[in-house]
Amino acid sequence: MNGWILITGILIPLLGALLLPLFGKLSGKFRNIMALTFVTTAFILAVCALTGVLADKPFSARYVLPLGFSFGFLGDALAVFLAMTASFVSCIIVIYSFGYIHEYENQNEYYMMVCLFVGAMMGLVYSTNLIAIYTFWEISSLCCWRLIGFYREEITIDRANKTFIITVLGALIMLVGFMGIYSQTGTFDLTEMKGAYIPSWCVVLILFGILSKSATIPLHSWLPDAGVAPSPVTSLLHAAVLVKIGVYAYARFFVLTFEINEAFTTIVPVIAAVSALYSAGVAFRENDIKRVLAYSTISQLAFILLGLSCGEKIGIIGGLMYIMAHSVAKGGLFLCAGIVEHNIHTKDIRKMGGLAKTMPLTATAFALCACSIMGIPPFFGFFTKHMVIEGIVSSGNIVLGVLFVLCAVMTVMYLIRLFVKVFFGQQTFSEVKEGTPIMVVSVLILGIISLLLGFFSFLPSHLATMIWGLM
Amino acid sequence: MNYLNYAGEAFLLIPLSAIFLNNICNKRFIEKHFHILTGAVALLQMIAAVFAFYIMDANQMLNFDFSVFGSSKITGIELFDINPVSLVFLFCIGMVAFVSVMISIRTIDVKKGSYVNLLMTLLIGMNGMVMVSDLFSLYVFLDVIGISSFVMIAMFRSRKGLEGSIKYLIISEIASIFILMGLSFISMKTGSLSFKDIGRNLLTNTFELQTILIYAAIILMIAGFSIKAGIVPFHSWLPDAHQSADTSISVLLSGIVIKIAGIYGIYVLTNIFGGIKAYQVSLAGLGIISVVVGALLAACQSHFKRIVAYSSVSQMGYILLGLSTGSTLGIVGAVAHVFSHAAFKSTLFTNAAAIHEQTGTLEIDEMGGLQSRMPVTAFSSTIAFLSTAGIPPFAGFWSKLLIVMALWGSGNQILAGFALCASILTSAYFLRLQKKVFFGKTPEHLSSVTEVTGSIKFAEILLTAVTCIVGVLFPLIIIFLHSRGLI
Amino acid sequence: MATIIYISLAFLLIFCVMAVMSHSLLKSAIYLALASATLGVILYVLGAYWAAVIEVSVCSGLITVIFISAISLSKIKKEEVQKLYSDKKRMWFLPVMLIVVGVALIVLALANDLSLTNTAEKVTEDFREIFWNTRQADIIGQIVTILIGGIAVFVLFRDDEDKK
Repeated sequence: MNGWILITGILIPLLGALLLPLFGKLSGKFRNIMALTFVTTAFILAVCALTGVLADKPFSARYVLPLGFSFGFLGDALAVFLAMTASFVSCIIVIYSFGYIHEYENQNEYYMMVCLFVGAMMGLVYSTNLIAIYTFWEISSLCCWRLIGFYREEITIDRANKTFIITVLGALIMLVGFMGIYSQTGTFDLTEMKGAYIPSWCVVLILFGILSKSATIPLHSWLPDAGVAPSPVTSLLHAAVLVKIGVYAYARFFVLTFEINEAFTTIVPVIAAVSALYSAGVAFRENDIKRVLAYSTISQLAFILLGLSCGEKIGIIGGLMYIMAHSVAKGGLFLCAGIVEHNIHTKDIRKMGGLAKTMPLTATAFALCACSIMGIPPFFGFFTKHMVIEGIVSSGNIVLGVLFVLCAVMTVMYLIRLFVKVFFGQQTFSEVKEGTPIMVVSVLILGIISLLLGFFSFLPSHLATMIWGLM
Repeated sequence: MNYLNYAGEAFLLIPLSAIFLNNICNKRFIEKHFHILTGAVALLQMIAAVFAFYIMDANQMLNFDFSVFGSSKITGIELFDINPVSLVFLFCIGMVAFVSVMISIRTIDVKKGSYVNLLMTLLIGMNGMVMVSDLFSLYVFLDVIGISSFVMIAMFRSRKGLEGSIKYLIISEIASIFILMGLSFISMKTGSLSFKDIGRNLLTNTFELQTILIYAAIILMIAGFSIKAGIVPFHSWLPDAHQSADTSISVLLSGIVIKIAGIYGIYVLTNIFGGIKAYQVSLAGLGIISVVVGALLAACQSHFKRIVAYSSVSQMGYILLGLSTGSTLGIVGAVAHVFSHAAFKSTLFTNAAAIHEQTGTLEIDEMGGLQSRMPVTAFSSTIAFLSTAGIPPFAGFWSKLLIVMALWGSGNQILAGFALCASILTSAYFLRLQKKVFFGKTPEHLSSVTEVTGSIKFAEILLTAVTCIVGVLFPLIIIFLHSRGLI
Repeated sequence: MATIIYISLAFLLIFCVMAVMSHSLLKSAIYLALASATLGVILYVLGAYWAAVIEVSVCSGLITVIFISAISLSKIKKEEVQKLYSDKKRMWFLPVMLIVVGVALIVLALANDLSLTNTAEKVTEDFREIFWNTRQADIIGQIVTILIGGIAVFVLFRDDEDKK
């Protein structure tokens, strides 16, 4: 019962979030510092939990309740991997928010929801009980709803409601799947159910929840629409953290815990392939910078899902590492888009151009992150994409491998299109300055880390191999 | 045991003495201090219910019979009976009455003495109904509830109030007639209407005419209690009655009266007839129809209180689904949902009162952007909405989960899945309500609105705290129930 | 005996329908009195002597006296009220259908000679014993109902001081 590190790591951001509005009444600066403290604490505690994993004695806590509700927290390799990634990117985003949000209203609500969201994410990855996972899942939907609806325009509220309904409906269908598992095994506890076989209809129902949260076809339409949110929100939710919940759930349930029908190693990659191709195609046609990046997210998430579902060791390791690569890089891309949008007040790329002259640092960071997504060596994204495609090919599905390579090529093309249209070419806005130091430093950190992870890629791959060892 | 005797008698005698006190005191004095009198009665009821529960639990008693005025020494028959389920209902009655008093401090300006009288008679009616051990006495107290709520709706003699209350009275009387007919058919078989004498063997040793009569009795009584509870297709009186009454009375109606008059009656029927398959199927059918139709109808309303009224219709459907399973888990889930519904529905009506006080209107098309001006109201309405929609970790999620688990366990998997997914409809109409009222742009005429103060704000904060705390600590309740062998 | 009950039921139905449908308040009150009297007859034939006596004396007698005195003392212009309602269309078919169905059921019952369970024979205790002891819960309920009646009259029909 040495799970205090995990429980503290969840409770500090969760409960701290509730105190933030009170701090905000005292002073805005104090509230900002406390928000950053809470999120950083979650990151530090996740790193501490890593030591337990490396020593092969993961931290855990378990409480037995009647009716199969027993719940507990387990800091195993997968949980710690996701927790570190999510909390680190969230820290950077909170720092970025200091520069972005300070001129808008409702800041108390913003920081409260961001902190609550980080707490929910920590709770979700550490939990071993299906009902607890569902609880944190819905708390994250709630935070998402409030954060997307941050600007009180009519269209933002409509989009926020749409996101809420799609993700909550997916989660409810997933809960029906959980009930199916419960009626079969009599418990909601994942550690007790390790290795259990669950029927295919349960898997399909749970897939609904996963597909809705990770924005895969056909439940993807909320993600591009959510671009009306403030940029740090879009980065946090739709690139770095929220959408990773779905693929994490896939890894936790179907890779690590349950046995499922073999057919799913073909069906899920096919769904992923359709999603990847369709969204890559749409990304070509979009003219709103955040929508392009959103469709790119859908496409990359399909890659991750492909890696996790193909059933081969190298694919699964690649998929897990791509989670980390994508969080860092896509988070950075959205934050750069935020700097551009903040200073120019438009999101239409047809109106932009030549910004590399006036915003050189932003352009550099954008380039670094984009290279990682495009899969150019020696960036981290290259190694991970390579492993995913190797995995699908070695599982026998050449056709899907070719489709995904095609998709990777399309990724390169539309990201270059985006970069050129925004940063090169004729200068349309001449009095645009660089972003504030805080914002620029945040994006540069993310860009440089994408590069560094590529050099030190043996570190995350060591952790990912440990996750494989948990199967 | 003596304490339980006092507690049981207190539930009936304290409101009676409050009426007495109210009418002999000086009128000016009552106008200024009526809330202390009624608030004290409600609080005493809650405290007595909690203590009685604790004593019964500590002594491991399952029920306790008593009589008022000690007449049992003569005949040996006890007339009233409290058990843990009725104590939960009594606690809910006290809680909602307390909230109603909080609201009435601000919204009722005239006729305060009459409000106190009527509230006390309503309390006597409701307390009596959950404590009797005889079907005919149940009917008598049901009538008491019906008449006092009818008078409360019509109290201010506005045109809409009178219309709503006449509608409610006529439909309620039809329901009472159905229940009475059902009662008489049952008594033709058994000769007595006491719960002990009826038991569960009504359908044994019958000849054909009696079987037909018993089934007719089941149908009539379900119909009668469903009308009282506002179940589809008998729900048409509910929105009009809620809209036309003053908010402190709407809170009583939706928060507790439909549950005591309707749901408690069906709970009594479940104890008698619960094993019959046809009974379970009909309850499940009524339940799921109510859930879906109530939610769909709520989505197109434009008056705040009507939306909340249709939401009540929908939630009553969930409670019926829980009662239809026939298992203990289902009944526990249904009773838990009664409690969480009392909490979040009272919160929503308190918000309606707050908005009405501050803006003077309840048409949601005229409102907008109130979140920045009335943050406490907006926050409590968001928590209430999340609890209604079954979002964890609030209380509404746990009670819905227990009901769905009970449904699943009794073999109705498709129904359970469908009921769970129908929660999205609840989210849909509440999102619409939130968007139109609290978010969005503030119109011109509302730019000087401020947050409500005083007792309404206090009631909102209190109820939000109850919803959150019960939700977060619900696993403890599950541990407690498991240790008593219920689930 | 069954014949008397069925005929009385028919009369009860007719009097009730006419009480609801008539335009004049006074006539409605008288039809209500007649309906209560018929109900008293049924109760007497079924063997509930005490109930029959109370029904006839209280409902037929006392209540009707109160109604008629209230109607006479009220200052409504009765002719105007009647004209207001006589202009409205009537749905004749609803009560006619009700009466026809009722009469048909009664004829059916008479023809098939249905027997009645006479539950009054099972009652062995004294009426007062039941009233005050066994059914005390109902008495409490009834007292509260009378209380509400008084409160209702006070709330609904008394003029406020504010209006003056």
